[in-house]
Amino acid sequence: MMTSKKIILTGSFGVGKTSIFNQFMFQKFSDKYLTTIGVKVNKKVVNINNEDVSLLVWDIAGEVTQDKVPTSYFLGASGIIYVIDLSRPTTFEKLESDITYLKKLLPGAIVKLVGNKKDLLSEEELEETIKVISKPLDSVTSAKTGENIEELFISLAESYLVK
Amino acid sequence: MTMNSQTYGIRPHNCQVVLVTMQGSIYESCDSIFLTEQYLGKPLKELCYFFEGELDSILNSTATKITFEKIRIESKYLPGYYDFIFSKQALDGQQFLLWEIYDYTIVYKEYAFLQQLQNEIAIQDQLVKKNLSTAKDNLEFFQSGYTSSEESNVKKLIKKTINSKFSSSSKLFRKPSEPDANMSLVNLKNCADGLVNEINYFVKQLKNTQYGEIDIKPLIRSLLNSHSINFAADVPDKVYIDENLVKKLLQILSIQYAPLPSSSAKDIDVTFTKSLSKGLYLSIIIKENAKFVMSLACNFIKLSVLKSLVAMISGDLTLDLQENESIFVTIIDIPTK
Repeated sequence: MMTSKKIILTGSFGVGKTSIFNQFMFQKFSDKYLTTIGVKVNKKVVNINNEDVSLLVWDIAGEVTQDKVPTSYFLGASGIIYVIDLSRPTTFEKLESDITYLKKLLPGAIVKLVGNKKDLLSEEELEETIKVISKPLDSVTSAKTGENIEELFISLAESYLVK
Repeated sequence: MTMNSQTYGIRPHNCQVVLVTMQGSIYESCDSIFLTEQYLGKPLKELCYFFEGELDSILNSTATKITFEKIRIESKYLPGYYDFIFSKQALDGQQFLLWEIYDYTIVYKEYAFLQQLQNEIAIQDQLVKKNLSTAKDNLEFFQSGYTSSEESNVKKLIKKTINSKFSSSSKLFRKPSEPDANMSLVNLKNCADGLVNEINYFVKQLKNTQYGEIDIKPLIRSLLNSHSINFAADVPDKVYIDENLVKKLLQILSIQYAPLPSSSAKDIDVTFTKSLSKGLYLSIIIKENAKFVMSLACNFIKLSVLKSLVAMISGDLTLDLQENESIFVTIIDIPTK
């Protein structure tokens, strides 16, 4: 029987959650910012060592703090991808309290911290930015170029098989 | 058993109620929003991805009521934005999951428009605050970054920069010290070319500026005319500018390029050369094993040139075109990692 996992894409508004979602699902990117209302769900099956894992990805509307996201959205989630915008420090100001809140809400879930919009920063800027982020990033991505997007979801899927 | 208003109360027209068995299949529905006939007895998970991941959790939940707001469904049978409310109901001695569907597609589309505006404003606000903060930091450095000897050195350097050409001199590509050095040098050269373009653009803008009608310093005008090959072809012969306005603009521009304060090392040679064929030109040589930060080096060069513009326009710096030195070599201290 195929392993099926619910993954939540969350974080502040405008950090690129929908762009990550679209890049992963459809290999598409748009520069135009379009706000997400509520939640959109889609599915992609990835193959890890000849085993299929069905990832049901929930792209939820960005909120300034995670306690404003309806808790029902997190019901049954196995993984959380917390996205920040590397070019907007405001999006990682509440990082610590948000991650604490999410881990408390879903103790068994894997939480990945992702710095998105890498393409907007120079190498030096990226280095400086990473230094001021209060938690280590699990992945640095660019939904625009697709860099590390597939890898991000694959690594999540792999961790479920290991578990 | 029949679903009717007596059993479930009066529902608004945008609401549908579906009875789901505890095995997860549709048992009965009022079909107000979408027809379920073809789904009766079939697993709800087939209806849309929402249920594929969520149904088991809902069925196993001990909560009396679970609400999901603003669910966007793209299934062809139920496209739109909905609120779903799930609750357990016992009917005729049998346990069911009651699924209430509220169609708020129109409302949420309007809401999306407002949220879009709100978020865009908030994002712009955040970016403006960030840029202001960066500009403030750079301004502090800009105002206190040079010692008098450095200032003097920069001024000396700048004296001829403005009428120099950031050329693609072969020296620029000499002695690549690392495998990617060529690329770095190309970047640096492009950066310098970019600066020339920016200066050209700025000078072009001046012709449209008639504010105070203060005649530009004759020396600069002469400079622009005599070395127009280094600038855009359509740079006007005579430029009227508001001195304060230009100073302000250039200062803002130079603040953008101010490098971060850091320790420095002599890693780049900048050579101004005067030749009969080329006139004055500038070459940039990266020393072997240089460890500078490329963007800072570029910024430093840009800053130097821009500062020279400010200084010239404000009259703090004048060019001595009588100097006869054919080669003038200086070294720029480039902030390093």
